[in-house]
Amino acid sequence: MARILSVAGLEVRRFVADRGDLALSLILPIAIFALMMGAFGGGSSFSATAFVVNLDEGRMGAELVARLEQVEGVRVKLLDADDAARRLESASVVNVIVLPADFSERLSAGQRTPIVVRRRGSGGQPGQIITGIARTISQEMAIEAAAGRYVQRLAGDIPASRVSEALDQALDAARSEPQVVVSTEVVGAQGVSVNRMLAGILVMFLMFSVTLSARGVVEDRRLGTLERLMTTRLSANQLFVGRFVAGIGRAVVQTAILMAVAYVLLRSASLAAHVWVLLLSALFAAAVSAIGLLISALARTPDQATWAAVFATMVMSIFGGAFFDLGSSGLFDVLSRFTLHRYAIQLIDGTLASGSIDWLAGRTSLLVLVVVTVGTLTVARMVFGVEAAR
Amino acid sequence: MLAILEAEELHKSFGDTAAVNGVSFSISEREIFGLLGPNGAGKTTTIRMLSTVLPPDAGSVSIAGHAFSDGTAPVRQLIGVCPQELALYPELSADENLIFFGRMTGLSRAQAKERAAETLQRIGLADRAGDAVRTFSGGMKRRVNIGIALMSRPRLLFLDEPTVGIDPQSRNHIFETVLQLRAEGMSVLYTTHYMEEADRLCDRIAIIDGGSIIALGTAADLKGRLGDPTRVTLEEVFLDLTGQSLRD
Repeated sequence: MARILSVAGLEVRRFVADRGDLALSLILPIAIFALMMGAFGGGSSFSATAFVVNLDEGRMGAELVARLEQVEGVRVKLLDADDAARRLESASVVNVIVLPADFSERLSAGQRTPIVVRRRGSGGQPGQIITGIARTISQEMAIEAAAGRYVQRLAGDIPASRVSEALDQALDAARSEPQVVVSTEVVGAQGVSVNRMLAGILVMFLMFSVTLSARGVVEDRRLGTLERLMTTRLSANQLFVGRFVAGIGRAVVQTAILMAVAYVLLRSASLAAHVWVLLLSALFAAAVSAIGLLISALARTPDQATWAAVFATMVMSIFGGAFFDLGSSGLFDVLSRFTLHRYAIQLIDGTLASGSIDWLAGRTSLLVLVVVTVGTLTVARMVFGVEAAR
Repeated sequence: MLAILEAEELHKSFGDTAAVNGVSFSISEREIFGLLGPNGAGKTTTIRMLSTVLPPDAGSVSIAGHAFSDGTAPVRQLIGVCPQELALYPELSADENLIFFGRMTGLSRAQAKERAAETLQRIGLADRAGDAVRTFSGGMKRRVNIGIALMSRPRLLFLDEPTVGIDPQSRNHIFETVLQLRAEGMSVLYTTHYMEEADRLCDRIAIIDGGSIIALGTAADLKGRLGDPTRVTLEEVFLDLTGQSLRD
């Protein structure tokens, strides 16, 4: 046991001695997290630009634009048709709402009124939301126009201008004091999205440590220290387990720092939840460390080990849902089942949300991590035994 | 004199290539035994087999009466290996390197620290104990490389080209260290490409080529093959035995 801990301790000392590795694994996750929070998690409201081509010859197109501008988080950029076409062509804009020349005329007359949406591909999520808002406002204006016509008929001899003025006043009053009020209850400082982001970043950076584990034995072989160690009383098993323990230890240190920062700055979950996450991270790190050891046993050079580890990290980060929700069906969902990230993120996200591990709901994820750890470790040890004396 | 190492008919092949082909020799207690040979002659493969890293295909080895066939664990307590390459962790200090490898040979933490301090004194690096090895000169690294092999106070020390690429002062320091170690009772298997080193240090010399030992004896014996030992150099003997053709 002493020799195993010495090997693990050696790795930690080498890790600490290498300022580059230290910065990569400790400072970078915090920096990336701060950047992502700033980019995606800092505000709670929607924010996007509505690109509009207003060909309408009446007043209702302008009215629609004005109402769009009043929507919180929406900015309106008016384009002429040619400019819009160029921007769509160059993909600098992916969603443009075109109000036709007879927009006011048809809306006032109660006729079906088309709005054309020109877009590249899906138009992007913001574009789809803007389109939905524009549709709702148009529909609202159509209803108002219908109400105006109806009131005008009932008003008989009263001049149309007075009826219209009275109606506008009533509608303005209704708009200034909306009947339906949406209240927001924030649970925790930043809500669930922060936990999701925290879980993704944590798992991604723990996965990066696969590179460090993968290089371990290969570096020993390159330095000649592996052969030297094989002439001491250190057995191959002790060397192997020492490396494995080192990988977990390093990951736990990383997680502890990141979780401490997250707890102090965000308070997005309870202290107990953060401690549970630390334990889950150790389990995930065990699986990752085992993968790193397998790569290390198979690779011939440090470069081979690095690239194999980077490939594994990127594939699992992309298909494992480190940055976005995977949904519950489709190709991503299928592919994600072959990544460790999916299971680790589910466990960590769920734990941060509920405050402790839900053993029942998380049993599949826990089982996957344990099986991958044991299975990969077994294969890696077999390969290492064959290759150690290479 | 008692033999510390006995190797009998060692064979080792890699694929169809026979790297070592029937090597036999013994090393006595307190003897510095030189193993010389051109590149690819089988020196390193022989040392790897003798230091328990590589199992031989055939033949037997015993160190201090412990046959390898009975297990290598007892043997590893008796040997110290200084490989040709600098097998060190460059980002760690000299002290940390020595203590770590000392721990791997079975020393307790306290023993390893004490032994590291003694060793650093011996290799002349006590004042640089806490500095990262990567900041050392080539000669200093070579001395740390040897120091690691001394941590377990082995009875048999393998020194594989320990003076490659270092200045005369460091080389001389290594010579003196080796002679001091012999005086303290240690046996040494020494390989080198520098013939004057072998001539100066080694009690007996084996010249290996093509995986087999082609000559074995004292430096004077070997030089006597070509004439007056006081006028013939070991290098002339070596070239006479192994030929002039390039090996790399």
